[in-house]
Amino acid sequence: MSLDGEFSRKAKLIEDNLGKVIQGKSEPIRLVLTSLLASAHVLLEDVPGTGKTTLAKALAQSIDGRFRRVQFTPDLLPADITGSSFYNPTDGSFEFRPGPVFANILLADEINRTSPRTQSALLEVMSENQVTSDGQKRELPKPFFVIATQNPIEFHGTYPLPEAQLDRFGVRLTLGYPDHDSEMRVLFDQHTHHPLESLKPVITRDELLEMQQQVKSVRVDEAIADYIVRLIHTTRADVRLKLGISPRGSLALYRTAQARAALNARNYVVPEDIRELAVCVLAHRVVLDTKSRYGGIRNEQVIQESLASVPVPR
Amino acid sequence: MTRAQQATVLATTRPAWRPTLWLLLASMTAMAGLYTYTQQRHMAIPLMTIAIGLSYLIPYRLSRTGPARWIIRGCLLAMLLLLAPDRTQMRSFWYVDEGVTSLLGMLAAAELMLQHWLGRPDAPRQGIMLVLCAAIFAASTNAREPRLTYILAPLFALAAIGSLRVFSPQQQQAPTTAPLRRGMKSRLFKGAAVAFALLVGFSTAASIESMRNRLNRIGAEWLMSFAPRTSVGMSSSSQLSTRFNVTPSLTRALRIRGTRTTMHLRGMVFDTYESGTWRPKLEQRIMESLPVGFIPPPQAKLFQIDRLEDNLSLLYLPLNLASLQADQNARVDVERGHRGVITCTPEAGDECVYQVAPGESLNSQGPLCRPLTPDERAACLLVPPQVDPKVRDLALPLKKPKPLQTMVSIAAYLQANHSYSLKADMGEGDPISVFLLNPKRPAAHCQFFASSVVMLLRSCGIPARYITGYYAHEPTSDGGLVVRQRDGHAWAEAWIDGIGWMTVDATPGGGQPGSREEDESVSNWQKWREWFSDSFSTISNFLRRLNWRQVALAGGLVALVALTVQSILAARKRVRPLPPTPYAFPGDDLESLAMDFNRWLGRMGETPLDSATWMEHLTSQAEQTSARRQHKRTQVDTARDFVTAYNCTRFGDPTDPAAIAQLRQLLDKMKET
Repeated sequence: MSLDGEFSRKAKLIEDNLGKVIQGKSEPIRLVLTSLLASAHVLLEDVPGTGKTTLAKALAQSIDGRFRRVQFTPDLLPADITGSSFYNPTDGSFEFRPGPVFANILLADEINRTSPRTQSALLEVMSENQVTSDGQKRELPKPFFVIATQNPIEFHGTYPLPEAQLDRFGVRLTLGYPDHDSEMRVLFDQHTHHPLESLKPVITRDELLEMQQQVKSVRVDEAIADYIVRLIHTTRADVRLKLGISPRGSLALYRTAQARAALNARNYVVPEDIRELAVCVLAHRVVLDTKSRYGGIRNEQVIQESLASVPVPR
Repeated sequence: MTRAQQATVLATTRPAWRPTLWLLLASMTAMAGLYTYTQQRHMAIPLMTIAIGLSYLIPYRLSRTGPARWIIRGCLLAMLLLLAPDRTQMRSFWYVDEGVTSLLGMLAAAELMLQHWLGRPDAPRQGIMLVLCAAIFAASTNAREPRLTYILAPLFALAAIGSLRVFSPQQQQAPTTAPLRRGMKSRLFKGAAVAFALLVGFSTAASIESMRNRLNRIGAEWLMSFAPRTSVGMSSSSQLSTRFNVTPSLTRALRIRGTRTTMHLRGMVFDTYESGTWRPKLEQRIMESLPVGFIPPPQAKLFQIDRLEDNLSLLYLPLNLASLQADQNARVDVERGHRGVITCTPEAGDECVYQVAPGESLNSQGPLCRPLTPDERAACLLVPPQVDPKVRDLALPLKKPKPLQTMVSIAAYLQANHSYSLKADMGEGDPISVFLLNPKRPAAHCQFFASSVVMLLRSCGIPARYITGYYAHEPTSDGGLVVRQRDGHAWAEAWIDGIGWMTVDATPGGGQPGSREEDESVSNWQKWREWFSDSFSTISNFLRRLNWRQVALAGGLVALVALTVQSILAARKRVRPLPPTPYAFPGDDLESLAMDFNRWLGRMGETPLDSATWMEHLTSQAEQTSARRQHKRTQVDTARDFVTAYNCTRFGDPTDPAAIAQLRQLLDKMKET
């Protein structure tokens, strides 16, 4: 299954659909689409009111699939997300009632407002696309895509996400405030109603699955894979880091690079794909040591320095 | 603009390896102030200032992770401690102590210099450097030339406030939009900031000037509370007054190593009594140099005494001393005559270390027990006329057939009939006579007991002299003894024919702290302070004895240990290295194409960096090329087309010979044009 003109057309449809709701943010929209096609979960991190939830909802509505939203609060329990068994008095049996994770697109809103215990309930869900309850495994529907939003951890009432869970997010990105013209358009677009209300699905669930399969057919040269591994290796050898990037991180970079190439109508990955995606795919996976953290070093800076130190394949 | 490009733009606004010029100005002002304060005595300060200046010109930086910075810190510390002026020249107190202030300022200056030479001068690091500058400047604000303070303080305030710009949010964010044109508001704000800085500087200088004397007095008082110098040690003459001569504090006077035997350590010896005062004064005595040399008697048990503080430079020695060895660099004098008071004046400070070999027994007669000449014997038998004749009557019943028995009976009489007290109020008249003859049998301190013993012995025809010194009895954890000011004591020595000089201590309880009502136990805090002080002086004495070769050897060893520890730590974090030659080309044709294109780029302008793709390189070239240079822009566009086609083949289908041939043709055409 290789790329064709239909792929680009469908991708354009989703992109345009999202563009109707989120103004002037073509790059983040493209990144979210890249993650969706690479089956990599997305973490949107920004201050309140910048359109994180709107973007997530717009993406869910653009795909004709099952969408569920979980508002994470401090008193949320793991079973509230995954589902639990209830006693049925009529036949004396236990009946499993699936939780909101049994969906194609799961919006985990303000994920860092719940305790790490509840956050950890998503570990199995995000990495293996299944839920284990009462000793029984239950497969999640395909495609399964998590789009989570969170506020910066300096804000009140937030818990930091565990490293293991951060690693399961393919991409972390920020939207940022819109520029002057875009913010003007936001005001006028919502003059009578919110554009989200009139948003219609543009592709079906099966079409999305097919696109995800097509992405996997994009060619990655040996030199590109070598470049990814070298890049990851520099983070593991970096003395400023307590934790470098895992093989799951290199796999995420590999897969998202394929998706980016496909979105650019290429059936091969070029080094620019890796370099453009490295910061948003890798930065949230590294953990700085205390000295560096208080020395003003940022995760993004470490990844940029890695990019500047590894030779590029030609 | 990509994030990488934004980072590049940010980096070009100021070289990434050095802090702002404001900080340089603040550093230079602070160093100038410090140099003025230290009266241009320390060459280290201009040298460090030059080093800070050079750090703005040379892009080399020390690693923040290796052991080098710690080795340099150690070397700087050693250098400053060695160059620090002698503390004895620093007796004039300013804020606290001139020597301490300048040393602290210089330590801060050394750290500031090191910080300038370390890499990554981000906002928190520059904040630390600014704090160091402020510390140096604070140390230097007590300059003796107030006019200079008036110039330096506003300049420093201006530089310090300018340095704060590094914390402004605009400085830390990448420029995402074009900078706004500077308006009147911005200029007004800047002007207000400069005015505010100058105002702060002038008012600081004025406050320093007006507060100087007050601060100096507070500092001096504070320092004096730690070192009550005037009351340390013995008096030149001993006056029998209501209070004991030596202030009973916990300040240490002597430290004895090598013995735990309690002993009387005699300092001053008197034989003349005049109206309640024992004489002669130390200044009136004839002193001569002690013969150099130390020959301990066989089987002598040696011990060492460290004199920590004393205002008369006396050496405190046991009566049965066999021989003595003091510091070779110190001047040791001994009094001519039977009293044999010994003084020791070291080159600097009060501290003096001497070794003592006592005699085989308590009554061994050494150099301090010289037999009396007839004149001296007469002086030691004299009971002055102001002493009531009834004292002689009191003594007669105590006289026994043998002098030794007489001595014992006198001591027993005093201990049985008088009690001990640090306060002694004898009222009018000769103090000894009142003490001995008052029917109320008043309590008194050791000076009265000792003086009474002397007078009673003399009345019985036994030559005696009066001694002041310390009674050493407090054991330490390291197997020695410690002598504090509160252990100051007075006793008598009697000449017994056939034996020689003997110690007679008639004070109840032997003058030990437990027998006094005002004694207090030594707190743990006091013990910790003493331990710290001892450790510091041990280390500094050890360092002073080292020569340059030993210092170099020790430095080398420290560096070796640091490198070993660093290697072990690095090995724990080491990750298996990757193969050094990256990215094999799928074929020779593609490799030669890539090499040729790279050379062509080099001829066209700059050779691309290994860590940037060709496309990124060409994009930055296009941004730098002005629209008028049409030829260059066409070249860049052609090169971009080539790179797109090359990438398609290289990463898409590297086995397609037709595509490679087309690329070769395209490149040849580019070379021709």
